[in-house]
Amino acid sequence: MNTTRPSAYDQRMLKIMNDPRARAPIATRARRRSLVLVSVLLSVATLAIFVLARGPVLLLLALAVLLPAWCVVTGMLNAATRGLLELRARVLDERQLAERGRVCTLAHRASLGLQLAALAISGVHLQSAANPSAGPVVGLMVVVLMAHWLLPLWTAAFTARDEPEPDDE
Amino acid sequence: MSEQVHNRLAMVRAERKVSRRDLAAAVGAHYQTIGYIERGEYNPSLHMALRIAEFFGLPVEALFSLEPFRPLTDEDYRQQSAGKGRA
Repeated sequence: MNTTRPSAYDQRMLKIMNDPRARAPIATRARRRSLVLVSVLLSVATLAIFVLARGPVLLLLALAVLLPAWCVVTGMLNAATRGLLELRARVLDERQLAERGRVCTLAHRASLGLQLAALAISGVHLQSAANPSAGPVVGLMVVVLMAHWLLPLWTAAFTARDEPEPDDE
Repeated sequence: MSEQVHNRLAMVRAERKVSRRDLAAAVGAHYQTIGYIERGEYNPSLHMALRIAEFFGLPVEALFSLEPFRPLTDEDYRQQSAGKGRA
């Protein structure tokens, strides 16, 4: 950990992210990877509902279900990584900082691939459609933006190793 | 080129009855990082290796090595055998 003194907020977040009660559902690699899949599906569903919902009431009802579920799953993924991407650098040690750099690099590459694919799809759409509209392109940009935001967390949780057996917890 | 660094941190820690949390707090690391070092899945920086060695009051080469450590029983037995040989 670096020499900057952690604030009260840092200490509280560190405690939350390392809460041993949250370990059981995310203890194995298979569980963490399943959770990443659930997070991807919930994220896609949350975006899709804006297009698919017929009327504002249905949209609100769907969001009332999807958003809390998404928040819970995201919290579990953060716990699975022990706050690797949420905590400030000053409360992470050298291994965690190296791990954060690794997952951000991997996620950045994947995000670049998605952006290039989105650019190509948008180009094809704008070139080939008889009456090209901005709607699908904007929708695609929102998907890319969300992927860019969440890919580091998904990568971190997906590639996280099983932790050493506790000796003193 | 292999970058594996062998260590006998778990053994020394158990011998001194120091928990991972206590050691981690003393060297400014997360306690799971100590576990990863013990499992050989993370090689500490020179700074952390020196801090761990300082905590135990041992030279760093007593804890970390590029070559696998021989079992301590072997080393003790050799020393005892050499002692008897000289006597």
